[in-house]
Amino acid sequence: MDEHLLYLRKEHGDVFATRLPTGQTIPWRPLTTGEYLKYTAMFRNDQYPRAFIEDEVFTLCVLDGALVRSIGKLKAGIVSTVVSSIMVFSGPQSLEDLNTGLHIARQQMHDAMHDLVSMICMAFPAYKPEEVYTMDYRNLMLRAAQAEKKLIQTGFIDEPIFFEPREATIEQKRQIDEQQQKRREANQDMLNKYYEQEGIHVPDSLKRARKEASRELITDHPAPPPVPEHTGETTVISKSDIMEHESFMSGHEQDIVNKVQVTKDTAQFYTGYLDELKEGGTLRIKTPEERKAAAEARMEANRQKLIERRKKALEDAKAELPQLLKVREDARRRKAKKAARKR
Amino acid sequence: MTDTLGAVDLKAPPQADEPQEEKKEEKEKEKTLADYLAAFEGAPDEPLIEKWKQEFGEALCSGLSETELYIFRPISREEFVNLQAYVQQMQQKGEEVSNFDVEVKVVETCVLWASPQGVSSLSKKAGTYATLHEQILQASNFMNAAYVSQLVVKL
Repeated sequence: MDEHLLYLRKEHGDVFATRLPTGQTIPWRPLTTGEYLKYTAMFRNDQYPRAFIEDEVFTLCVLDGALVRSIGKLKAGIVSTVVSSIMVFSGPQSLEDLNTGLHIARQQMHDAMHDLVSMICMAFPAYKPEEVYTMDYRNLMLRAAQAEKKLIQTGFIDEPIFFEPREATIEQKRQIDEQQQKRREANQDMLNKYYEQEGIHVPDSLKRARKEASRELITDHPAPPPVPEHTGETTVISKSDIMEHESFMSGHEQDIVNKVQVTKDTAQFYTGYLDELKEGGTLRIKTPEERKAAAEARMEANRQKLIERRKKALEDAKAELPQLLKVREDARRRKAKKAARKR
Repeated sequence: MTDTLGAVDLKAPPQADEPQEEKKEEKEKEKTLADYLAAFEGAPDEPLIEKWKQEFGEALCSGLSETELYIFRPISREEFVNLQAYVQQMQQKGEEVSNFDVEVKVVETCVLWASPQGVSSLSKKAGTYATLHEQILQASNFMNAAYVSQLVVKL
């Protein structure tokens, strides 16, 4: 790389440059994804002359201030040439480009460090990948260990992570991918049936998050129990079945299962509300006065119940009294006879 | 040795003449564009060409034939943008602006001088405007998208 490019890198950082045949070098940055989509739409809409939009992109992306200020005096083709490069390097030009770009990114993902970043973000959703990439190595390892611990505790992974060199051939990789796909489908099928059976509604955002997180980090994941075959019209999935599959649930799914359980356990306290929901009416939250009146009514009812219970106990005791007295009298007589025999 | 076949006397040319021919070729090479242009009436002289270079950055000469000469300059970004704005304005008014109209505008803006035969060719030969338009765009650094991507370097 020649000195001029080294100088540009020192001035502007990790950016692109277009070297024109005249020898001029123009440094520029690519558009962000949002900007790329916006300008692609503007070029397609034909609302403004193409040259206007090209000037805007040139002004936005070219890092040489002097060139941007004298844009009107430049040769007309320089701006169009540089902008066409910017558009090519800022986004895909076709679906094929998109697939190719994704394939290249998948190859980059083979680096174990990217897996660690994904794992940290999965365990700590408040972290964005950009924040993790700014960490130094020591902090990254600390967070990775914390993430690993959390994922083991929540059952998302079974054992600590150990990275191995990728020596599998293409065929082996394909087989591993197929096996993992079958396991994921079996887990998801079981989970969906359980949700359906229990009447649990999973929000669409969680379904999408589950799809995005479906890429497994460990290649030697233990195989889950097989999905039971249909024996009749309905398949009943027992609690023990779902507990076997709990280890494959994400933390969010376990949250949902726990919430449903808590709701069931505390249903007795919210009977009135649950009845209103079942009838399909709107839920009316009682005022403090109404609640106080209801509490006093309950207190009075409980007091009456207690009085009744005590009365009943007293009557039962009264009914048992002659029997008790008889038993005592018999015991006294037996004792007296025994004493008399001893004399 | 003299060949007596026919009337042509084929003798080896005298060696003393060779350096003179080489000098003649060298003198021809030293001729500038202005020297060639001097053959045409009203052609720009060297000071004027230098002035154009100072004003427009470049001055180029294109010869579609020996007598059809044109001197032109690259089109600037501002002129190009104004031209596109003009085209869109016309289209919004409902007036059709064809590619040929655009070519004519560009050529009229950028051609600084044309030989008399060249001026005549503009109206008599259909491809003159298109050819000049293409040359002007090339001189203005308009390039093929595929070629352009090869010019990009990641710093």
